[in-house]
Amino acid sequence: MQERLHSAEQEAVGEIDAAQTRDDLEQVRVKYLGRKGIVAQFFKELGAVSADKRASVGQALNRLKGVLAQDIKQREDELSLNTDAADSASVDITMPGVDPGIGRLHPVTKTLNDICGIFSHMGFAVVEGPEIETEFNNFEALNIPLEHPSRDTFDTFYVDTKDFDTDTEKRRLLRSHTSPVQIRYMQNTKPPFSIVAPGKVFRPDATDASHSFMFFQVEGLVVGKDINFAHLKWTLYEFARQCFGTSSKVRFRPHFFPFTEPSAEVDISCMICNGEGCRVCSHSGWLEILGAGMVDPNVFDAVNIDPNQYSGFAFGMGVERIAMLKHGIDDIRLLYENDIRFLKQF
Amino acid sequence: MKISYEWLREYVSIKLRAQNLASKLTMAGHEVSAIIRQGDDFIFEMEITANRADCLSHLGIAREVVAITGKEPRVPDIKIKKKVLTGTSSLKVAIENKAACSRYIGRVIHNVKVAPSPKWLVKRLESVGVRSVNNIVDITNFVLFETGQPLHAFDADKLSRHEIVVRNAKANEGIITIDGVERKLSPNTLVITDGLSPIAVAGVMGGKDTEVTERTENILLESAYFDPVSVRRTAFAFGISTDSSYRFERGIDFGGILLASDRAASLICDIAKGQPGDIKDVGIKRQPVNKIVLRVEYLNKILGTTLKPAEIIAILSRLGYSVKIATDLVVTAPTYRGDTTREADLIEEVARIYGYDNIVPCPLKVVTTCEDAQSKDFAKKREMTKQILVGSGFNEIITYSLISSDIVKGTAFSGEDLARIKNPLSKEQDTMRSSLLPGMLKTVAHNLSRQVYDIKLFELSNVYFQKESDYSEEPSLAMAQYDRSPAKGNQGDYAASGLFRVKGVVSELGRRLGIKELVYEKTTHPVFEKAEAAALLSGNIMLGTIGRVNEQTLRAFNIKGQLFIAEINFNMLVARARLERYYSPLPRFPYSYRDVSFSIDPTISYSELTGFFKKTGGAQLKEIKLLSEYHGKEIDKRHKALAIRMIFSSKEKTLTEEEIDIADTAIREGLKEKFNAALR
Repeated sequence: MQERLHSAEQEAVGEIDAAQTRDDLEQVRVKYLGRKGIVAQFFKELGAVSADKRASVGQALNRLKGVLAQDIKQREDELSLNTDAADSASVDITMPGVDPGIGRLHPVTKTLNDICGIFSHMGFAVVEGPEIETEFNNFEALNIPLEHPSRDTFDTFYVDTKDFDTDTEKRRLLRSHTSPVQIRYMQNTKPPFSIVAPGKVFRPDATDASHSFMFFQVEGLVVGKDINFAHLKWTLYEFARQCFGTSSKVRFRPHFFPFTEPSAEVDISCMICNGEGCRVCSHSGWLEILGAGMVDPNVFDAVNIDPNQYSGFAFGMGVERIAMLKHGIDDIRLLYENDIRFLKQF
Repeated sequence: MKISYEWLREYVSIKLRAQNLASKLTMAGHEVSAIIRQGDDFIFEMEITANRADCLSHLGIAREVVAITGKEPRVPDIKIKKKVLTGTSSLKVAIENKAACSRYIGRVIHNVKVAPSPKWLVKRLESVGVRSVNNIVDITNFVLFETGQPLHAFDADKLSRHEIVVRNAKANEGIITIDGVERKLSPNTLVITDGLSPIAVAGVMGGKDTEVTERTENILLESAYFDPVSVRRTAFAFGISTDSSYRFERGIDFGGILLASDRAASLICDIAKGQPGDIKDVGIKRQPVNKIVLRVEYLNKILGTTLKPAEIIAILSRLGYSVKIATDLVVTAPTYRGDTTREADLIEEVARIYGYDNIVPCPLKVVTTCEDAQSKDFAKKREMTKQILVGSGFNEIITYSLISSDIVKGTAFSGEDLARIKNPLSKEQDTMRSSLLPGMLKTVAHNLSRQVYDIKLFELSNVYFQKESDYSEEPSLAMAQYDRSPAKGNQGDYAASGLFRVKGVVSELGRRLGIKELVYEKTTHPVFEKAEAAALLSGNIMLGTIGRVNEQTLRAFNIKGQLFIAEINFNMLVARARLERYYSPLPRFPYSYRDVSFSIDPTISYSELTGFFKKTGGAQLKEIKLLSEYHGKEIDKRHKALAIRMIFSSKEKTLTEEEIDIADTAIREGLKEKFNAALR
């Protein structure tokens, strides 16, 4: 019996090694370890073995069963390794991945989110206001008199009302800037506070590569007991650093806005030529991106905040301009044509 | 406005090169947007802000250069011969509307020789882009660009009477202005008359009949102060802006009116060999002096600086202000600085000349400001919605809020409640949209015209309505999916149908926003195909519509193929959204699946079937899923085939095959008996 076991083991090992496919190996496994296989056969014969040898033969049989199972497992691993190698040679990894088909946010939305995100993290609240506004909120409260040249830059779309010419109180317009949100907020909130107000604005400008009758702005307003121009500078330096990168330079130029005094236009160093001068920055090395200033006392008066007790700064920026600068977009109309080949790039 | 570098140097000594001077002016608030080389001169193209009327001249800019550089100014030489010819009758000047004209200086100059201007004068005018006419007209223009005071010269002999009356025009009066245009005058228009009829539109333009020509011998020179609002209204009514009206609108220097008249008279006597005659100066001679208190401490508080009184005084003095030191500084503005009336104005002046660059940034200690909970919740849901749609393959678009009335005319988008623009730029943008669909359809058409066919778009923006006497705006959400193939009705592949893809995204959005009972009910909609439109409801409230755009609408936008659209009232959606989530414990016992395939009369709705499945399957039927829908040869022509997976499980135990068989059999039998289905 022991001898038969030994020769069966040798044969089995030889057949295991000779198996070239998993099917071959499976046949070998069935032949030896199957329910009616050779090993099972030996176990059946065990009853006929004399009692004194039965224990040792049984042990040998169990060993054989274990050895063969292990050898088959090992051979199986070898075969599957080879199979994997063969399979991977047949995969062309340069084939394109399957497009997950995900859409994109509009570049203006992304830029708005970026801008508001920067201020949000500084502790500013994001507030919104309506697009259809009153003349008071859009002009008078912001120290823009009705018949003054300072209104020239704020050409405005009016909504057609029945009694447009007689009832000026009821006149409605499409806000020409996001500044009326300042007025609404200050009318309802006691200082101190810090807010940014993103939104859509309208001006009757003929559409061309750099003008659109509809565009987006982000307005900022900080009011408190000791807010000064040096704070304004720091805030916008910090904004520029985060929005345009740490190497960007910022300059404040005196300017005039009816609702701030002192007022400034804020330029950043041209990111296209690094301030050397190019076509985009009209060879000045600077790009205007913001208007800002200290809140004019007349604006505080209009919302019943005491200018002797509180001071504040405000700023406003054009979102399209920033998106265009950041992405090298040279025509504002691209943003509102919504060509999918354009949208997919962001 | 154009400023000549060479001309400027007549009034202040400048050592700076043009480029450097330009950047200093820019950094003092007078932006030089371009420098153009013109022969040996440099022309600065300057953007003068609306508050600085005093800088609309070479002398004005020279004053700024003085303040910036600290150099001494040079005042132009004015010599008028003392000998005065009074002529036959003396000049009369009367102002009837004193509010609109507070001062009028009329001056007669006799025996002028109208001729071409000397070269230097022609060159000066050319440098600011003004064409030379003759020596008299040129001198008035020269003085305007030198001092900022608009002047006008009349041919004195063409006046009906030797007098000037400043008054409002009478009804039916008119005038032909120098530009040859015949203008009707309204009683609001301030005019200069010769006692009988208008000879000039005050502050805007002179009349043709009395203009200086080659034959002119005696002139009447006007230098006056016209009210900014009055001039602005007149210029606006005529739709013109002249060098004169531009300056009057912004407010000229009250103290420079006589000076400019003297300057022009001196040049006319010099160049055109005229002899000074009668002069009449009518109206108020000076405006009240405004003393402004400037608190040094307040200035430093606003600017974040530590400027000392002496530094502030030095800056203001260089700008022409006179400063007295009391408890605070008491400042008097020069006559040409009508824009500085308040402390804030002076603080700006000090900051500007001190240099914004010199103010050191100081970290802001932000007062953390909380957003209103309701608006924050709205913003969060809006952001989520956008992200879900982007994740579902839709690209965000932003289209114009103003659309063409032509687009909406006669379509489903017109309506009584449309808000319209009073002063549209063009017909393209004269109406405020009440739906996002016109913009969506236009965008689809645009992309198709560029051979882009894989179109999945969404927009989340405001739409606008006229409501009784007021207006409203509310956010709307529109989604569109395009399919190039022609419509197949209900014979197409269900899973590939654009309608059910859009519906799938809407349903996913509903799940993610936690909207309960999102129900789709067949409806009719003017933009959608009759049989392929549904209303989207939740708790009997209509949230929006979904459907396939009908042929008529597609044709109007030049779109071929199929377009599936959902439009949702976003406020309604948000109001029903609940973002709180409570987890349901995972099942402890395994699921069992049974699939059932059958063909059935297509008029039996899927929701009817699912109702039957749930009722018959009992509590252990956890879920049913549509695996496929089929129309075709293999089944009865009049039928549709469905394959449905039933998922069974129990909270208490592992269900036995026998238990599941009971439910499964009940459903199969029910399908046959109730719905006459053929099991496959």
